[in-house]
Amino acid sequence: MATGLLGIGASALLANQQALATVSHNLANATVEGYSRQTVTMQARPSQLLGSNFFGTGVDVGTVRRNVDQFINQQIYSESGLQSHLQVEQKYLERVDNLLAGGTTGLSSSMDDFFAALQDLSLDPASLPQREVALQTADTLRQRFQSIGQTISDLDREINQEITDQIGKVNALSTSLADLNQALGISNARGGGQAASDLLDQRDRLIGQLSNFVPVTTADQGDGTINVFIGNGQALVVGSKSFDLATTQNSLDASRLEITYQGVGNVQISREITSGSLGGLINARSLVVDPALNQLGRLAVGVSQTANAQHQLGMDLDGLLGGNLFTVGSAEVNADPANAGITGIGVTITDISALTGSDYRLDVDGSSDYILTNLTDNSTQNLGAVPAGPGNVDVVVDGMTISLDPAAAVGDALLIRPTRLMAQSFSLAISDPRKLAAALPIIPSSSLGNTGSGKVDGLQMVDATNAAFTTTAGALTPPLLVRFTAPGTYTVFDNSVPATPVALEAGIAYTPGAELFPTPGAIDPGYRMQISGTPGIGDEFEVNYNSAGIGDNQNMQALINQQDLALFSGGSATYQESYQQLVGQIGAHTSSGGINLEAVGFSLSQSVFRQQSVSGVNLDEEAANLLQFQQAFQAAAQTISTADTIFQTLIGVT
Amino acid sequence: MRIASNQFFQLNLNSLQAQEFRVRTTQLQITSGQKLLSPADDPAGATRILALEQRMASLEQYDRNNTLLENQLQIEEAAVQEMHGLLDDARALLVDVNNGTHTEGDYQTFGDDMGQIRDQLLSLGNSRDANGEFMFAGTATKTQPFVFNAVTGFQYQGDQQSRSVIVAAGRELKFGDSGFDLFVDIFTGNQGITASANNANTGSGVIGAVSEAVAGGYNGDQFRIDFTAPGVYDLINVTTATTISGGNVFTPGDSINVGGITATLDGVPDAGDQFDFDPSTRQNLLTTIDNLANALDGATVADVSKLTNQINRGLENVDAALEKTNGIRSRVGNRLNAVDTVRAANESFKIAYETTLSQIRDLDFTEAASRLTSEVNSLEIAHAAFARVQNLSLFDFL
Repeated sequence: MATGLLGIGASALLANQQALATVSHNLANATVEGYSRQTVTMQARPSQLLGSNFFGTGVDVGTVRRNVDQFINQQIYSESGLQSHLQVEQKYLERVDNLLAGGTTGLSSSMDDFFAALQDLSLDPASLPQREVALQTADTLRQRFQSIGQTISDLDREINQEITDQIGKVNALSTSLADLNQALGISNARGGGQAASDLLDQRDRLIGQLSNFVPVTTADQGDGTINVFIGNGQALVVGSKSFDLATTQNSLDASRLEITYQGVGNVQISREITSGSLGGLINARSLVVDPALNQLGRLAVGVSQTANAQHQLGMDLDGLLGGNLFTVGSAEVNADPANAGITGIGVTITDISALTGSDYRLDVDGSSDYILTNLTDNSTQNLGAVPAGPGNVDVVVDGMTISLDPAAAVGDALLIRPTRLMAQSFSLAISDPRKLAAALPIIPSSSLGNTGSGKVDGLQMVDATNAAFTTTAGALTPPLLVRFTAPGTYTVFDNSVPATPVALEAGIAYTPGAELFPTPGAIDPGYRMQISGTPGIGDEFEVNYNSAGIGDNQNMQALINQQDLALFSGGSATYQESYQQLVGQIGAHTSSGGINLEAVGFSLSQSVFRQQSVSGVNLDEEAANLLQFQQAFQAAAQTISTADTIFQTLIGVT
Repeated sequence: MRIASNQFFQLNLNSLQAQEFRVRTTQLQITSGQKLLSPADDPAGATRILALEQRMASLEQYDRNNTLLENQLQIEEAAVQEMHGLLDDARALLVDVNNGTHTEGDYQTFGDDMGQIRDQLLSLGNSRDANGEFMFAGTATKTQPFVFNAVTGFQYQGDQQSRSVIVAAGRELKFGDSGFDLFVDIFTGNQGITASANNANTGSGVIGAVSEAVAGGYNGDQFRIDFTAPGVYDLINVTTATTISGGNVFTPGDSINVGGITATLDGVPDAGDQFDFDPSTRQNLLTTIDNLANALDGATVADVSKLTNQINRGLENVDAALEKTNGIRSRVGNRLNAVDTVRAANESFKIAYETTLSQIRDLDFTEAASRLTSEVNSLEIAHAAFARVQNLSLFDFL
């Protein structure tokens, strides 16, 4: 009995000592990140049969339990992955939003300034200082286009850099996980099917870190090790072996790095990285960089083409026709290096209002048809079969004219980015303020001898490439004369020699206020005019080159009025509205991203709270446990002392 | 529910940080006076701000345009006013000449005075604006509009255009009128008819008032009165080369009707004297005045009727010019009124935009100040509570 008593006492001392040690361990690790609270479970030793009764033999430490809830952990992994994803997106969204919508950094104010300067110029078109100012504001507009374009495309490079850095960290984490797996396997075998709690904590922490970068799934192998998968089931860690991720250039766009898996072959897995900060980086390209660059580029090419078209209809201070005001580069076309047929294709922008601001992929499919895929909405269009040649076939689609090449082979792929480079390449075509074409190149006059009330209205240039303007620079070939030969009938003359005008077309019926050109006999001098009122017989109206009319501002007015024309998106948006659409779009993403981020942050903190309530150390609880086990220890010591007293008493009696 | 001690601190810390962030945001709002610290704070609002700012910029530009236009119109008004005064002088002078008997010396003086008026009109027509550009050359602002050439007389070298200015969204106003409008686009004669006495006339026939017998009754043909003998005349349609009536008897002061024209003819025309009626054409005002000055200069007492004929026609021309200046003066006045109206409209748009802009962008300081107070209060309370709660530990009692 006495040895029994001693044995029981000793077992209790031992067990409580271990329990106290565990409490101390908990207290020591209370602030360690990822530490899971451990508790000692004690169990009674098997009892002994003495006579007809079972007597207890003491206590043993059963297990040191690690308090975790794997389901909550899984939830935290996925929520924190989503949070990192949104954080990265939000970082880029906010930068671009602040850049575009900011009063000093955006395009809006410099566009206003440009048009204000044109207005000032139109009040005094012959003034060189005003012309200088107008040109300077045009140059500011250029700088703004270029710098916003540059800043946004720099984000592309920054994203590449971040992807490379983060892939390095992912690889380091998977190596560590593989090492841990090895240690866990050994500890599991030694621990009789139970791996060391602290190693498990470390492993969970690493998986948590990993899921901040990439979405991972895990499979517990039952031997203490865990396999980690990424994307479509590509194994990142299998047992004690890890596989690396790497980057490669996008086959259609060398400026973009894609994520590849290096386990078996080189599989591109960028698309599968839908969560974590790497997922955020991949997504930021299509969410922020692409729309911002493309739509800004669309605006740049739109401003350039429409302003040029109007400017070319005008006359500069030297009496010559206006040239281009702005220039932009051409559409970006990248060919897959693996293409067997073509290494490029001609793309020109021909219709601003139909231009979408999307990127496109052009493939030659199995039946040798050119298939165009809009990368924004993934809609496809069949542009027709590869032409038989010789010679290309032009196809007009979404405001672009694509010149289909007969040399294309099945499987050829091209990336077409119609507007991406336009903002960065937006430049001024003129540097001489005299070259600003403020005036109309033509001027009507009614003859002094006219007796009727007829007068010329609605003078408008439509085509400066008309032979009337191109035959001799700075002159009209020929100047025209309209003479009313009878009430309601007129003849159009070639007025090259005013003394002897040559009739070009006679007997044209007069309708007050109707366009004179093209005449019923198809004379079209490249401009439009109307005569209103009642011209008398013999009344004459001349149209001459506006050589002296440097004070004329009609072309400048037309240029200014373009800012109120809905030139974009199928005739629904002006220059400024088109820009505001972009700002609004990025702004809406930023705002909804912010709300999502807040929601995820809230549910993540809820999950962490629940996880901590299971696994975290509560100091008061440990203090209570400390007291409890201490008292149990003291009680056990008392048992030993009692056993001793019993023993001494027995010896004393004998 | 268990609360991990770590978590207890973390939760407190998070809530303190969130409160501090709110206080800092409000403080930044108050120091900047702006509700939106970055466009991302209110993306929809930021887009509207851009649109409103663009409209404000346009309105400010219209304001500048209006001011410049107003200036220009006032200058033109003054010029037209001066022109009107000169024409009044010319008219008074012509009336003076017609009323009374004068010596050839008087005619000389009248001619000199008329020449003065012509020169002042010329300098008015060639006046320049603040930029040194010609005001009345149409859009050919660097071309001197009015020049005198010994062969061709006074010539207008500008064009018939005038530039316009955008004064409000979709509204343009003419910046001014060209010299063509002011000086050249003036029809001679009266009601489309220009009468004249043949230079070779030897009699004392003088054409008085000329008008249409019935409004719109004149068909634009040329007509002539041919005196075949003293007191006998033929009426001829020159355009169709037909004699309308022959051998009509003339009494001085008769009103003669031909081709829809009624004209009074006075004096005693000689046989072979002719009087013409032509459709009116435009004549440069400077030419009109110059012709009168020359007529006065070269007038002789012996041939007063020739001068009188010229003065009568000159009066018609000056009256037409006066009518023209009145028309332009009221046109300029209308434009000035339009400038005022447009400016008032722009101003009220501006106020509306500014109000909207301010609603989106500007901070309500009263609201922000009270918000700051309550945020600071709750932060202080949170600090105090944390200090109280954080030293609750069982270990303190062991």
